[in-house]
Amino acid sequence: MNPKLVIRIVAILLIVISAFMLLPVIVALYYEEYDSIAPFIGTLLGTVIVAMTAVGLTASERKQLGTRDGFLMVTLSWLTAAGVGAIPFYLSGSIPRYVDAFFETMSGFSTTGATILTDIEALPYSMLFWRSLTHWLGGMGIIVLTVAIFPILGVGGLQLLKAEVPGPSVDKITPKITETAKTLWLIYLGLTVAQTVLLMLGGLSLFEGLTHTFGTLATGGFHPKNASVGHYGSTYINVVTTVFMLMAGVNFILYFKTLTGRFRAVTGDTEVKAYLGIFFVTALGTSLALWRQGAYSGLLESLEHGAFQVASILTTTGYVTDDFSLWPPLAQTFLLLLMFFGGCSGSTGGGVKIVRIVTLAKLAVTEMKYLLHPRGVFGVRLSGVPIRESVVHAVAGFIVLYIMSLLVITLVIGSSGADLVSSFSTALATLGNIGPGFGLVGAAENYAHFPDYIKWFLSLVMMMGRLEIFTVLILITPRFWKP
Amino acid sequence: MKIVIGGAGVVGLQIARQLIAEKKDIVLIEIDGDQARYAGERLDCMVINGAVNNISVLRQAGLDNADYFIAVTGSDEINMISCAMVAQHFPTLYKVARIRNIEYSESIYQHGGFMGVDWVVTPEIETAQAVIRSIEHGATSDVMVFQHSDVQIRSFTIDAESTLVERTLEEAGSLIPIPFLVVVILRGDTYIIPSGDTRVEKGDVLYVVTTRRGLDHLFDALGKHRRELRRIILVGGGRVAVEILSHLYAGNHGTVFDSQPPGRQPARRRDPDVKVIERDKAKSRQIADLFPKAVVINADIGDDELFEEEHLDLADVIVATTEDQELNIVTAVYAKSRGIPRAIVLVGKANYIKIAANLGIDASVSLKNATVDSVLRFIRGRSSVSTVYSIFDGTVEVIELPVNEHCKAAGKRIRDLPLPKNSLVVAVIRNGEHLIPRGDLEVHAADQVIAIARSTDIDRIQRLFTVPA
Repeated sequence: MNPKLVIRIVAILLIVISAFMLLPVIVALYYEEYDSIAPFIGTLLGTVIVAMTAVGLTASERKQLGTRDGFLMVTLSWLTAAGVGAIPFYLSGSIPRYVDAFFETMSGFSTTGATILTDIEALPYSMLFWRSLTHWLGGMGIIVLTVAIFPILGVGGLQLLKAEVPGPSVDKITPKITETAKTLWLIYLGLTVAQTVLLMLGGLSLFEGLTHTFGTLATGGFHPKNASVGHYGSTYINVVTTVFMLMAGVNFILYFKTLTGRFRAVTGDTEVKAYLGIFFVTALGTSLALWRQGAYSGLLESLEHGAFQVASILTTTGYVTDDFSLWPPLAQTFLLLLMFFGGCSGSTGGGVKIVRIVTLAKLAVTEMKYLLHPRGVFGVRLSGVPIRESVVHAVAGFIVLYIMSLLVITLVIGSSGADLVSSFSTALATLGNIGPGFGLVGAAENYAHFPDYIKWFLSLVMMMGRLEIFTVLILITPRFWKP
Repeated sequence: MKIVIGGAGVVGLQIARQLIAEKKDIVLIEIDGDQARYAGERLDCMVINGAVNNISVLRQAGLDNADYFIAVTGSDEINMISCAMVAQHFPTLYKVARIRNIEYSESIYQHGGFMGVDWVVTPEIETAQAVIRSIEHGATSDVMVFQHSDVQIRSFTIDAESTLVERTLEEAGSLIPIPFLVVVILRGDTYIIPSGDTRVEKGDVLYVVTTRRGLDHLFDALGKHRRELRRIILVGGGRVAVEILSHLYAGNHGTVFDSQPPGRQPARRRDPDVKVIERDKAKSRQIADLFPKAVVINADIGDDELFEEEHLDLADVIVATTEDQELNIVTAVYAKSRGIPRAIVLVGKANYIKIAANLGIDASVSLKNATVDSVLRFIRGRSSVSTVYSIFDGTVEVIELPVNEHCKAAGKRIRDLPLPKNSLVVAVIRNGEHLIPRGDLEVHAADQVIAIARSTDIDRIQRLFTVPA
């Protein structure tokens, strides 16, 4: 263990994050919200002073970072980022209680999009901008994390995509981690610019375009309007957002491969095929259910809303165009089932991740083959490449852990007096980083009504879900702290 | 012609034996003293006891006036390096190397003259191709195909149900309405060049020349009904099996039926239904990973319950390719007794091919023969012979060669040709058309001639047709 180096790295990260607070300051200047400037500058200065001290105290340490340090570093990064990011909300009085501010910020950095705000539009522009920016930073962090750091720690779905064949690893797109990270940031930035421009062409202001984009690409769900995307009632905006939500749910490495002309790697990717397959089938099913009920005028409008909501829940974004708790039961069932799935590995989406679902489904098929040929030899293949048995077991282990966590979380939420549907869908929506659920946390509701201990607890659940559960849970095992 | 052979193992000795029979000058280099002595005692050639990858030994072998260098030691690396050394010091020689490790195959086939090797022999690949050829032709027999026509030579084992038993070949000819020619009969340990009144006996192996079109009639008459071989059982997961599987799943092999009318494209065929039985767990896993479409069973073929458990008796053909040749034969015989209609075995020893035929196994292929044939094909190819098959352990060969305009045979009738005893012109191909070589048929320039002869006479046949008089 090398706690000094961990503290040093986390401190540097906090300096970077607080530097981003200069952006909402610019927004405040533009919209003449001079009251909001002091909380941001104050937090920025305070953080920099404390962090610089920490950096100074931990100087000249050995540079070796072990696997255990990695787990600690990642978890501490998210915890402290939320802790610091919540301060401007609290100081400015936009969110008067710190527990609420912490929940909101953790929801932002974990790209969940669950909110405790009852009237979002009452907040100043600068605060709303910061709120959405936490999504964008969290999304960027998670991509770099899954591609560059999780594989080293052995968690996350991406090691599944690593070919179990000799030769250079398929998914190391450049030889160095820093290069890989830089490339992915550029892709993320490019997508951000593209969506913002497209949204502004649809009539949104730069502020709305940016915040809307931050929530989309990070598969977050914070929106500066009370009615979320439904505020605009524009087919154009809905379609653009649907497409970009889907794009944010795809493994970002595939964009790199597309850019470098390796289309075969993209078209042959089992996960993306399954992801798009699940999207098209459930979007069609949901839309037909809506159409049959006559909830919308005609098939096209049903398709528009059905596809949007399915993309939103599948990618764990959590945007809404309409209150889906009023939708026909079949459409709601589709959405509930989708809450288990999540995006692709290496994307900003949360949830179980498609690659794990596919692996487990293939394992089930393999088991059936073993029933027919007891002495046969069969394996699970992804994208045509055989997957090692131990990796398949790790996936099964993850999914069991995910389901057990869901049950425990449901119980804890139930202790606050919430009904079964609300408790269970809250567990799904927070652990899967989705945002809205059903019942008390439905599309038109929020998380404000939960007691404080539930809010603290759910903040941790969101972080746990974001960091692939293992990363956080391993910190509470006694074995972790034994040298 | 002088040929230096590096390595006097089973393959080296067999190549030497066949080339010596053709009156070629052979020098054998063998590192093992006992093996070198053994070769020296049995073969009429010079044997040097030394390392193949030693330049002074190579010089001593007289490479400066040799035409070919053939490296067939047990080690791929020594074979390649000795070829490279020969290439450096004697650049005009043709160099042949046996390379078994498939890891090298990519560089070898992509870059042509890899390490100075002119011709690479990969026994596993050649053997696998022989098996595939057999499967595609219904696994009824060994198959020899030729480059310039659709004439084939097939071997048929005559079993009790055959209508030809106890008939003379003349009677057989009137029974079957298509032209065919029995060129040689294997009976027990001897072979007979038959005439019209030779009587066919049960257990005979007939080598028959015919065209693809004529085959169906023959199959019926010989009591072998052709069937599509879609359900294949592969016993053993060694390198030959891997090569066979990659052929089967490559999709580039035609239909199993070879009676397609010419010109019509064979329909895109479904993947065959293959079960691989391999005893070793790690090997099974490896094959399952390589060929996801095949069903790999990790079990011993000797386990009787396996046949019920996997319904093996429903298969169309069993191919036994383990390293244990006795096990292959026993497996094939047992499988046939369980009702699998066709069996192909991989054997090593030459006499096992006869034993396998006597036991009713439809076709047998041998790693050694595949290697020897490939080497001989290259050497003959340099002197315009395009196809070589050795049968009866190399005592008899089948060759295909073009008729030279100025040779002794051009313009003569077949009955007037000075052919060596026990040799036969089995087919003449003119403008792609197959002609039955009756005595009064004239041989023209640019014809392709397929001939069968003792190894010792091959050189004379070759001179007769290809060397200008």
